[in-house]
Amino acid sequence: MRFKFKVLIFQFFILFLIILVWELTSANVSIIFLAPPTQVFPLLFNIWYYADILPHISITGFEILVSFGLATSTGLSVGFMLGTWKLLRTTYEPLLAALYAVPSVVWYPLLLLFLGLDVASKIAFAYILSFFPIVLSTIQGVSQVDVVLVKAAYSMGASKLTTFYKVIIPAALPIILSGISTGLALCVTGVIVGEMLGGIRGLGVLIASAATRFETARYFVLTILVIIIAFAVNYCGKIIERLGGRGA
Amino acid sequence: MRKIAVFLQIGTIAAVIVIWEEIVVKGFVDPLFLPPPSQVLYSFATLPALIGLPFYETLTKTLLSFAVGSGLGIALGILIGSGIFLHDVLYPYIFGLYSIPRMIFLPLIVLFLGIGFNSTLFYAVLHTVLPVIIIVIGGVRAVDKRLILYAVSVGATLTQIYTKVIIPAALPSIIAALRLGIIFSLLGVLIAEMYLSLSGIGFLMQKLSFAFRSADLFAVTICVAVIAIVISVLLGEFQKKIGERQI
Amino acid sequence: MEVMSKTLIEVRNLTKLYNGGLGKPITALQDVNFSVAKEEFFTIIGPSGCGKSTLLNLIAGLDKPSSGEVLVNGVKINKPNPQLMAIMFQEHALYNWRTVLRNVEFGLEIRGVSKAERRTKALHYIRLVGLQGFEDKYPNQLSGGMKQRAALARALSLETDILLMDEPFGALDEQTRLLLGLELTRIWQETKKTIIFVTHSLSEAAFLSDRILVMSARPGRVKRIYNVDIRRPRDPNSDEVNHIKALIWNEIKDEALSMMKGG
Ligand SMILES: Nc1ncnc2c1ncn2[C@@H]1O[C@H](COP(=O)(O)OP(=O)(O)O)[C@@H](O)[C@H]1O
Ligand SMILES: [Mg+2]
Repeated sequence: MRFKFKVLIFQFFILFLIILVWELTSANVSIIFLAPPTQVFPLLFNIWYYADILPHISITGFEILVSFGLATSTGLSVGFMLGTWKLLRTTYEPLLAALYAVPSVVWYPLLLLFLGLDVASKIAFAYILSFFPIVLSTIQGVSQVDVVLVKAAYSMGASKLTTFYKVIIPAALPIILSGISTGLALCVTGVIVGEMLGGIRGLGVLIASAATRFETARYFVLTILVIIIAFAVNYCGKIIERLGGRGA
Repeated sequence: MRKIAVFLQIGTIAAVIVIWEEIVVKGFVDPLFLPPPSQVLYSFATLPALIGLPFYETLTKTLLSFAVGSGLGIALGILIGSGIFLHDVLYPYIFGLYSIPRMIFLPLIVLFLGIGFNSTLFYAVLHTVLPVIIIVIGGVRAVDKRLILYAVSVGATLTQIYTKVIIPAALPSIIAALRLGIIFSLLGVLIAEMYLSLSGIGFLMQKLSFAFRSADLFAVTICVAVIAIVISVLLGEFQKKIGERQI
Repeated sequence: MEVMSKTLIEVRNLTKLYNGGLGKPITALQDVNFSVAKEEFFTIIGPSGCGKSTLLNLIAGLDKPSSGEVLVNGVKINKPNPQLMAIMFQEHALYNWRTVLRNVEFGLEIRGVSKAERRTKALHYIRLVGLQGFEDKYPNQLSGGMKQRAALARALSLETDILLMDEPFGALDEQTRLLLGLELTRIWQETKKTIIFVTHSLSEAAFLSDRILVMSARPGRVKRIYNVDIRRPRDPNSDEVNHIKALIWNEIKDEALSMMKGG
């Protein structure tokens, strides 16, 4: 307990140090204006400040939800198919793994070209980022199920279908859920990166424009908002992962 | 099985190209957006002239940020991973930074370092260092404690424990981190180039996209993707070799 | 065997080839013949890799023979028959997302038994294997011995005449193994099942069995079948048991050695 307490003290100390450095730098930077924390934090807690930001938050949230929904549904179905059908898996898993190795942002200019600057390109980009971990972990989870578990089910008279949903899915669940959790986090990244690289609406667009106009207080408020959203989403991911818990 | 799979893989890629060509030729989509593969092939011919200089710029920045980022990441990962207190204090921060879209810090970096080489490099290093640290920490912490205890029992010094036990034992994860690191460096450089709109492949791709030069954009995209895949596969083979030796 | 025993299981000319990769078949079993009487405790012993699991899977109908056949009550087996046979594996094969109770219920659930009935049955068998109080624990929360007890309860809950066991206690320590062996004997006597028991432990074989089949190394063949005419209850350290152990050891020693040299 004492150890944990000491860890906590040091962690707060680091946080304090970051804020202190921020405050001191902003006081001493003369060429460009850098908003100090004493100016940013009051804004952060001022609800009126969000009047024009709120619609953008909902756009970003919408993009995250849609891309995640699409990635999960397609990732799971393709993953289950490839995971259970060995020939399909040996054929397509290497192709998927190869595509996954490509730095995702490579696809973005094409998506901008196809889908334009508005939400569609962001959803598509976040979808691509999120689809791969979900499909690959589903394939991995399904194909790694211990054969003896399946044998046991057959010996007790289970059909192929029953075995699939009573044995294979639950056995693969922890790996699948961790893939879904990663996919969810990547949706946030995809949407924000997409918006910052060119868009019309959304938090990322606001961040980019606040920065180019040197509205640093606004930039910091928006950045902190994105961090809060990312942490909240990651927490949801942790909850999703815990759904597979099994009394260990 | 393997043979059939390879056959199907080639078949799939061929089918995609044929369907793509047919869709465009039959006029289902505007060739302004989706150029036919034949036209993309034609673009490949002019590719060297188009991407020569940007390619060199991007490559330099990627290799530099990879060297700095992975070097720093491995060193910090070994240090933090082997210290209990240090790990417990810092890990939440590192993981927190890793799990938010790092791109939101790019404008701040630009504010301090200006638009150009330095900010691109700084951002790409940040992009590389975090995943590398996390993987190396994982590898170091997974080292069997008995290996260390044995080294201590035969009188190994602290330096020897690191160089003769911890680092060799964590080598597979260090290699894995390097493999991921190079891709993250490239990713970071491309993102920064696209955002800063100044130079490099990322900027070129963005420019081609906004100018509706779709055939050229396709050619560049395929080229970069193939390079990334080749790097990843080569490092993957290397990783396998090291893994075999370790087991 | 003083009474005329009735044959229940018949294994005839059983051969199993596996695809060894590179187009080279592996002969896992070759021309295996034997029969098992009703209510018999029949043990199969042999060096690791000699085809014991293959044989048991074929009897269970989990795999198809390359040639030959398995007959139960004169009927050919070609798929799992959970009304007739239950199988238990070395790896407990419990579903770690289900509690002990729901693991034991699994087979009955598949069979379509009503919820109330399968609960009653499952609880009965959990008690029979001495796991009362652990119904709501997950497999990860149990010791190795307790996991095997749960797996045994799951196999028993199907109430089949035949119980196939593939090195069920192989991963346990000596004491636990002996203890579970004792309990298995008790349960076997109470339930009057026919058991085919695979093991690589000489003590287990000598202590538990009515008859012991010794298999030869690759390709797996029947080397010899021993009768163990020792009165029950048996003492694991009695001279009679040790005598049987010595007999089998002499039979198996060369096989194990040739297996090790063969790689
Ligand atoms: N699915 C399989 N494919 C190929 N070879 C197998 C397969 N299963 C078992 N074998 C081979 O058959 C032989 C017998 O295996 P097994 O029945 O598991 O032996 P045991 O249970 O006696 O240890 C071994 O040489 C093993 O390598
Ligand atoms: Mg076996």
